[in-house]
Amino acid sequence: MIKFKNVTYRYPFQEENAVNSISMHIKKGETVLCTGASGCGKSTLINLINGLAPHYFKGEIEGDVFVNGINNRDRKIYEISKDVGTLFQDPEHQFFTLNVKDELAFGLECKGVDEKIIEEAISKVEKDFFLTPIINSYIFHLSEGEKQKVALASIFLQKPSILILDEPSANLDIKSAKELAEKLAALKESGMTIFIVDHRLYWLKDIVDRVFILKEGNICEEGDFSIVEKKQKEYGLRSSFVCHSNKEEIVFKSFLKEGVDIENMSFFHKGDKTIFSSFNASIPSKKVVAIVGENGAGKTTFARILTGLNKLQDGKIYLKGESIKPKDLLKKSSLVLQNTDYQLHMKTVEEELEVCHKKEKEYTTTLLDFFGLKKFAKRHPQSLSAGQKQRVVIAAAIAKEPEILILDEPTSGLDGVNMDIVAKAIKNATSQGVSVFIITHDLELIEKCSTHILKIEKPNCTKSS
Amino acid sequence: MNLKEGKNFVEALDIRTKMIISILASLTVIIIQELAPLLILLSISFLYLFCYRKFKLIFFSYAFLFFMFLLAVFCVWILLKMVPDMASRGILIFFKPFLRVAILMNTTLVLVASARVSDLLSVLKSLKIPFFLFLPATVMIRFIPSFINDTKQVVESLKMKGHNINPISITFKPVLTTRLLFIPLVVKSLRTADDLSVASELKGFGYYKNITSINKNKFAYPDYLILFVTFSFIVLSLLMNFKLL
Repeated sequence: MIKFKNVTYRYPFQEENAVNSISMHIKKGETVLCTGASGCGKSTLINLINGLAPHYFKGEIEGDVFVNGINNRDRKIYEISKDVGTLFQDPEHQFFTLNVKDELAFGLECKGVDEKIIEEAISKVEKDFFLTPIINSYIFHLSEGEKQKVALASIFLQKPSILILDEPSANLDIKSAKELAEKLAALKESGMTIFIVDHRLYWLKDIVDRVFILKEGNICEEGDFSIVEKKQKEYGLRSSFVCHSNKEEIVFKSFLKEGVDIENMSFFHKGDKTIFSSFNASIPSKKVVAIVGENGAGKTTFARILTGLNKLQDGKIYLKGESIKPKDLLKKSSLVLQNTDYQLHMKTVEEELEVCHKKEKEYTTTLLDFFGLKKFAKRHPQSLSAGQKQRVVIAAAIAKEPEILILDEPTSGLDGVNMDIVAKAIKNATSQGVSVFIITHDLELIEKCSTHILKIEKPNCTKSS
Repeated sequence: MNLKEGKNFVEALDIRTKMIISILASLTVIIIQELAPLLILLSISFLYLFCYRKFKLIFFSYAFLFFMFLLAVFCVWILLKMVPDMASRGILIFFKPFLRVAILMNTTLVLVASARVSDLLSVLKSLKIPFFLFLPATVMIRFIPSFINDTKQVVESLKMKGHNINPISITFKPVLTTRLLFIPLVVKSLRTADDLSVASELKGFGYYKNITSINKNKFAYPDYLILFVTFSFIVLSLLMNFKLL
């Protein structure tokens, strides 16, 4: 089904190979997991299978990649994509239209499929993927998890025989990740070949047949799922299992007047559904609160309200017992969003941190050291890897010395080592008096550093259990 | 945003109508030299954009255009200091290009912001426009909403860091403000362009002979009406331009 014959590949303008002498054979109906530390070449393997490397990215390739028995060299990308469906880590990368229904239809429309058949196929995936509430939504208005569902549904419509998933669980809530695992198991049963690249491993135990562990572009280990557990420390992997969280849930009883108090908060987007209605919560200070909930429940909106980016239609927010306006919240809070590209502005990593504080230069050096960024101090932040960028934006948010720090999926795409650094930074921030909120579906991170859990449920407000 | 429920008069127009209006507007503004017909076309095209009812988009587009206009006026002012003879040609000569840009912006924004990509694609293909032209044209049109979204996100991220982009920051800290705004925008734009190309490649965009569309747009009464109005105003402005009225 997928065969690599001694494949070495180097991206253009790079001195080192992204992958070296890779030989592997994935059979029809097999589900394979590929994992390893950030930057080890996992995504390159994906690009080699779907033909983006070298057809789109160019670069130098040695050896051959066969998909369904045909050499990728002999086919164009769109021909390979008839066999291979790819779900990217950031689903926005694969959207070409601006509306959910249009996006689902687009691939089939391009192939000239009859309109009636397209309509029927869309109705089916709409039900299978629970897309009805968002079927006419604008792509940019979807939550990351919703985008992922749409992207996956659009791939399913193309009916590929091979499915490639790059970090599929990164933006999915626990329920959706479970649903995805069930869906993948069913597809495996039906004979589909599945190639998964992921850092989060705990959800894959029951569906994976074989695991490859990559290091510096080489396949170092191959075996069944048990090798993940055995080799976790050696390769800086994430945990293969997560204990059921027993963190204290935020329950609204009365206002504490010491951390963040939210009184009768109401919020809705113009012409859209209500997200919060008479929402009350009292969050203690100097704690790490994991904000959890289904995709599209309003977790990011909650973060935007807490940082003053969105104004309330009704209600009040109190910080340490005093009512606070959105413009003051902006000054006293930091928000780290999922997409780091928007948040890096300066010429060097060092400057990126310096513009956020008015302290001595040593403070910047301490932060760089803490986040393992010292050797990149003079590098342009946009030239760093995704994991490194993530650390830079978190360091910059902490440098501002906020009273409220909110991190939106801070470990998405991070390996075990980088996740530990982020978890340590979060704990460190609370010890300095910061109230930290982490919007995450990452059970491992919740287990590692959160003290409380705040559940946000559709259509509004917390679960006051 | 619910497109089905929120479809207004302009959104409901056939894609071909919007394309014809944009093309006619582009050609007419090249010909017209007089101020009065340009102002008439500006008013009517603004009304067309206004009917689209995306007021934020209108506000920010005009704010950007106004900023560019001020920048140009500043440059002209410097030029006049250096070459005083240029003043004899009148300031209007520098004002008219902006009127033309505004007219083009009004008509193109409606096309770009309301068009379904597959509709646009099927129209371009049915017009037998070569692949090497319609593919970049569609990607370019699709790029604009992404760019607007990217700009919004960058400005929000700056707000979070305590940097406000406003006339004061632009005047007193031009280098820093430019860097803060443009570096992530340039990087993100390059990535978006790349992503769109990858997305189109993976979906076989442009490689198949036939393209279908689930939205069957047909010329309706409003299309004929708006085309009639467009033609009338273009004829009127041309007559005024050539002093035949």
